[in-house]
Amino acid sequence: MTKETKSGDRMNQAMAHKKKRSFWRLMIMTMVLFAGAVVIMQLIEQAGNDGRVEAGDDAPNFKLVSLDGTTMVERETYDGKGLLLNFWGTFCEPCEKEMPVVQDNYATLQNMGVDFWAVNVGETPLRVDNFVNDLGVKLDYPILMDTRSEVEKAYGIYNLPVTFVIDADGKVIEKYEGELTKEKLMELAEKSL
Amino acid sequence: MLDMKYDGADLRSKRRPRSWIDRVWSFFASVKVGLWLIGLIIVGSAVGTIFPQEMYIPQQLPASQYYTDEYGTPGTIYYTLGFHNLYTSWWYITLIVMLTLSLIVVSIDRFFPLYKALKNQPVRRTDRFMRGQRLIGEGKGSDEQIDAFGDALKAKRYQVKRDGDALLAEKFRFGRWGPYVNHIGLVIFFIGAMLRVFPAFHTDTLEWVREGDTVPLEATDDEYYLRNDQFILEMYDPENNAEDAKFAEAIEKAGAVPKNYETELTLFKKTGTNEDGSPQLEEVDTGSTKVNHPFKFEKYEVYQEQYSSRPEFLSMSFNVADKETGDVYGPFTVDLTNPETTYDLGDVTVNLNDLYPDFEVKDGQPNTKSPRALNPAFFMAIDTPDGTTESNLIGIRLNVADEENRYAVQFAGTEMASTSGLRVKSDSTYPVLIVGGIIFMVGIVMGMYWPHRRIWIRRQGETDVLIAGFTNKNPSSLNREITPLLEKHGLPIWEDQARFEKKTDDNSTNERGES
Repeated sequence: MTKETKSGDRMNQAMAHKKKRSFWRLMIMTMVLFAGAVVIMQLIEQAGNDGRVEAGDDAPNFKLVSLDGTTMVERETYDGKGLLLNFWGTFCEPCEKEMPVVQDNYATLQNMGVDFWAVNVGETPLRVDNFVNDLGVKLDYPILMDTRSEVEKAYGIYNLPVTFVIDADGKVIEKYEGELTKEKLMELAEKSL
Repeated sequence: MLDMKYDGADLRSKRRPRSWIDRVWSFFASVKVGLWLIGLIIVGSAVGTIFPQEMYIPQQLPASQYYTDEYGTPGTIYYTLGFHNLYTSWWYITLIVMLTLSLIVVSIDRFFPLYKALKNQPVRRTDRFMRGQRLIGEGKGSDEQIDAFGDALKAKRYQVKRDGDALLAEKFRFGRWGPYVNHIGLVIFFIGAMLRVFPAFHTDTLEWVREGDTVPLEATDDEYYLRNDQFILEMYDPENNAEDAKFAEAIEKAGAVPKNYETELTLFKKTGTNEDGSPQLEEVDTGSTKVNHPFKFEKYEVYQEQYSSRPEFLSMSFNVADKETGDVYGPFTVDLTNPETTYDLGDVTVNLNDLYPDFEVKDGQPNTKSPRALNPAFFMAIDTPDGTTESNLIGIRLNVADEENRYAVQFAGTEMASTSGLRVKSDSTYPVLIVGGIIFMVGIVMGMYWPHRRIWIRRQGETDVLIAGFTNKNPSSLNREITPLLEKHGLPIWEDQARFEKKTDDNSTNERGES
């Protein structure tokens, strides 16, 4: 009898020991893999944050004054349905070509509840004013002067023209690089709603 | 021969795995898996050096375009697989995490059985155990001889234990812990490497700052601002500098040789925000950064890394000369970033009608190539006292004006600004990496220079003794140390069994692994 109980005790001890060991094994593996997962999540988050605003990001806020000095706009306080945020320069030919197209359709956009803001990338008001006057078309939409290139930097602009489609919540739905045609403009406006 | 690695103790992972936890554990406990992981990391790191990493490519192009444009299809593949950011790519970090886990599991799996086996080792070992050792000798011997031999071993700094007629002498057991110490060091090192992912521990950004400009530092989360007060580029000047004259010959061959790149800086701390959104800044420090001599504040270092070879124009000054009377009006200064449009010079008034910062002629029309003031041209109209208006297009080596014009615009001076590329860095992981590295080295040295040595003796029958020796490193050295003592005390001389049966333990090595 004593022999049997002894071996039974040992069995129990061994079982308990084993359970404890399994627990620690699981703990160690979970901790290391969890730490690894945190690092990788951080990496993935940073990969999306390379200083360039892309689809899916929140549109950075900014305050800019228009070329004629009459209006000041702020991204956060904009209360329309959708917003097309365009960046352009007088030295960029496709920008020049798309401007009359945007002007032709601006009334339609406004009826849809979509505004079109054209941010000039760090040029002087003098140059932009001359450029707009030489265009031959009167522009109704706001030309915003980013004289210190701060907004340009915040959005990480490489190529011009570029148009960000921003919804009412301030999320970037799409980033379109290239000249806007009427079809493209309408497509982007639809997406912003 | 017995497998003496881990003293013949069962490796934990080699006991029959039962649950999935044990199976995963066994996977990471395998040295084969560990070696594969190391191999993959080495291959990955090597591939990562074929093309430059993203942080070293020019900034004008996004990486997605750069690698394809520069290196073609291999470049595209390189970019797609994330080799352009190798050390922060998810799969590289995954490999490092798996290796870290492998190191921890392997160490636990081996350390505890070995520790227990060595701690509780008996002085008297079985006949089979002793005959299983590499160094084994058998022959005549007495208790007195064993005692005397034990004393001789003590003199050699062995720890000698007796159990009746059996003897165990041991030294440098701690050398066996070398690999585990080394693994701890590596794990700490990897933890340090992984901490670099978090901006709180490691930041590294390049800021382009034009002279006179103040920029927020992204690395400090816009808490600090830097102003570029002046960029200095000095060349070796053998003609005017006696010190430099000794290099005259070399400089002649090489052309102009830069001597110093330096940026003088002012550091500001943001204390609040003004109503118009601009930051309120408080000056904290001034200083300069030269190549290899960073400007330091808090945990940050600012390195002089690049500069723009084409300085930008900040302003240009002009005079207006009356060709008839020789009178000169002015000078007046045009600020290129925010120009006035009218300049009243008394009798004459200059109207700035247009300004092309980077002048070119396109389709017969004056135009600008970029918004940067690299090659400015000015379209000016001068209101003369006669009531007429004269037009001038003025630029660098450019002056288009009507010959009949009475007034001529002349350059009076320029103010230019260079742009410095400053690398702002912080790295709080160095202490972790250094500690990890030191522990790693200590582990290596422990394992390399202190071989664990053990000698067993036991009586066999009335007149005979059995002698066995073990070392985890360099058996011939143990042989050289002990054989003369055996001879001196008249004990049987041992022999190296491995000499005659080579490579018997190869299989067991693979199975049990090495650490």
